[in-house]
Amino acid sequence: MKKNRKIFIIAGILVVIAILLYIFLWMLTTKQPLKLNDPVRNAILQKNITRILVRNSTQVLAMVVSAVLIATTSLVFQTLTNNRILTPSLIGFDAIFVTIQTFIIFIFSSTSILFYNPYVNFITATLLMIIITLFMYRLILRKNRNNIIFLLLVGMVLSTLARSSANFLQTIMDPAEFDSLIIRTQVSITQMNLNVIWIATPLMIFIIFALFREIKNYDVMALGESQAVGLGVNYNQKMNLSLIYIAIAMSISTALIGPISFLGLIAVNAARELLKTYKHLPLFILSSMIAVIFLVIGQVIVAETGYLTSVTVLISLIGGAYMIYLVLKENKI
Amino acid sequence: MRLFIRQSIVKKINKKRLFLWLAFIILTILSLIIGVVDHQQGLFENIGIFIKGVFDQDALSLRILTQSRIPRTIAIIITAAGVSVAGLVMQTISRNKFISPSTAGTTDAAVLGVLIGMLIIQTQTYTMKIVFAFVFSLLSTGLFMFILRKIKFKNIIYVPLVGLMYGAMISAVSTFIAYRTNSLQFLNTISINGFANKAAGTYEFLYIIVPVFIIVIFLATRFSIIGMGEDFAKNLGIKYGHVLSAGLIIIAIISSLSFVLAGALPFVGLVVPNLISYYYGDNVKRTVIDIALFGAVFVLLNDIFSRIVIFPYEVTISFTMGITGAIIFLFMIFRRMKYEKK
Repeated sequence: MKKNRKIFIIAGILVVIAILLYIFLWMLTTKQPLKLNDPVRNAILQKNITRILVRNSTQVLAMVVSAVLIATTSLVFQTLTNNRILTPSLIGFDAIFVTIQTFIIFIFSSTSILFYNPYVNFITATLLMIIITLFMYRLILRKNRNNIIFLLLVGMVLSTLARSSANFLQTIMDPAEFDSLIIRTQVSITQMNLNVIWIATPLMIFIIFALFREIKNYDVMALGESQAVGLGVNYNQKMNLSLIYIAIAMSISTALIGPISFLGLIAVNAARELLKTYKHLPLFILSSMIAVIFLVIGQVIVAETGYLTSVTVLISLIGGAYMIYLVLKENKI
Repeated sequence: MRLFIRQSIVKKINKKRLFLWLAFIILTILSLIIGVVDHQQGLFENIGIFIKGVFDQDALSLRILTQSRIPRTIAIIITAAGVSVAGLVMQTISRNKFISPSTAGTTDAAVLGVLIGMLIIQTQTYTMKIVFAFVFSLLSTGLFMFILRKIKFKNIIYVPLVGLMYGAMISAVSTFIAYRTNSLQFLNTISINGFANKAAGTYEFLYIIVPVFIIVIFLATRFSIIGMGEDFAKNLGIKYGHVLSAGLIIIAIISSLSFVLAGALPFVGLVVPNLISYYYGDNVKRTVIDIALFGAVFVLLNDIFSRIVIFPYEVTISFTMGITGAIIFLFMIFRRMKYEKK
């Protein structure tokens, strides 16, 4: 237990360092000197500094909340699937997101309020994504209980279908409409959709708390369905509820910071390796911390090295290699 | 009695086969006559002009026929048959119905190969693209088969999921390299291709698939046997390693050629062998020709659709294919689920 406490303290310090680095590092490494004696320019400089600090803090807030959400939903998903490699991002929410935006612009044109207003657009897109995901769950889980792996396969095929139909519509679309579509759909960690952060963050925090409240049930559910039912957990109800939370979480985080496929896999498995436990509470906390560290420090490194690559690619590379390692080390699955 | 049942089954299969051949011939003719001669006219007027031109020995129509329509149709047939058979070989070797070159990272590796070839040699000839795509898809398929053998939990759906993640990792490597070398735009154009630009002089490499296809027919039984496992194959006196490498090379040749010359054809390698095995069973030697034929019919149908949907323009076949293939694949999944429930 003492050893674990050490791990938590180190991870906590790293999280704080990462956040501080993200907000303040540019001050130390910027090539322009920040101190000027001219009082007029000084006022402008100070205003700009405040503006940059506010922007960086907003971004880091979005990243932290999304990272925590990705880590926790991946952990819950792995408990439900009883598998250490699958994560909900495999369903391909980014393709569904792009398709929804394409359909909105194709049917209502880019001057419609559904597209033009970022709030209305975000709410519409997220709602549609949630409806599609719930529809998928109903279709599969009603017929074939607990077959979540099946759900993943259908999800992946559906996302290919979505991508193809989006491409199809984009080919025959008006070029001007296509330009406005590209601006809206290319959401990534360096181009966050910061307009909507103030509605997305409270929702995400709500889901994190909702999952947190169920932690004891997840401990029981990890034993398997029949054991969990025997111990008095309403397995199906809890599973459906968790899947709904996961759908909402993935939809929001995709619309806010874009898809990051392997982050959940790295965070949860690293937490498992470090703690060597099956209890969800410590895993929940440590995997969230690891996800934040990876995402924020990764972004700091990428930004400081002059954008040699994007952090999404970096995480995919590390995560992919880690996944193959996990698969090859048979007993770890 | 037994003999009688057998005969009636054979009759039924022959009837289906006849139907398949008929569809194939009709679609081939359609593929030859549909297209643009005069872009100001509609679809049916164009067909009329073309047919009349061919019968009147009109120089323009004949040139269109020999330089564009025939090469395009041949390219479609060969590619479709090849990709379907490559999917069949992969599914037989790995004994998993949900595996195909597009769900096991082979296509992603071909993209990586073309990218690296372009960066090293700086030219974009077909030969160079094919060689690099071949080497990379061979290495990648080999590595994937190696990983497959190490997986303990061989759920039929879990394995393609691992394959897709593996493919995602390979395309992350491609994106990384392209980002560093400022060739992201080139990367995006690699997989966009199709049959629209196939004219005399650009498709001839595809003929390499024909002898490979004949080799598959000869090796079909061996592939089925090594699908049953290494020990079993050795018991029957088959050189496991040799046949496996032959299979991997065949998959890599077909995938790289079809990918470089015709672009990605999503779901063909997955859907076609599965649909055929519903009707004819799993005897690879007997079904390989049906699979090739059905693949050709399927892709011809999609190509004709993409040609007429926004006539006189056309959409890329991979989009159409992604939509129709996905719908059929979903249908297959649900059907399987229904049977498993019973």
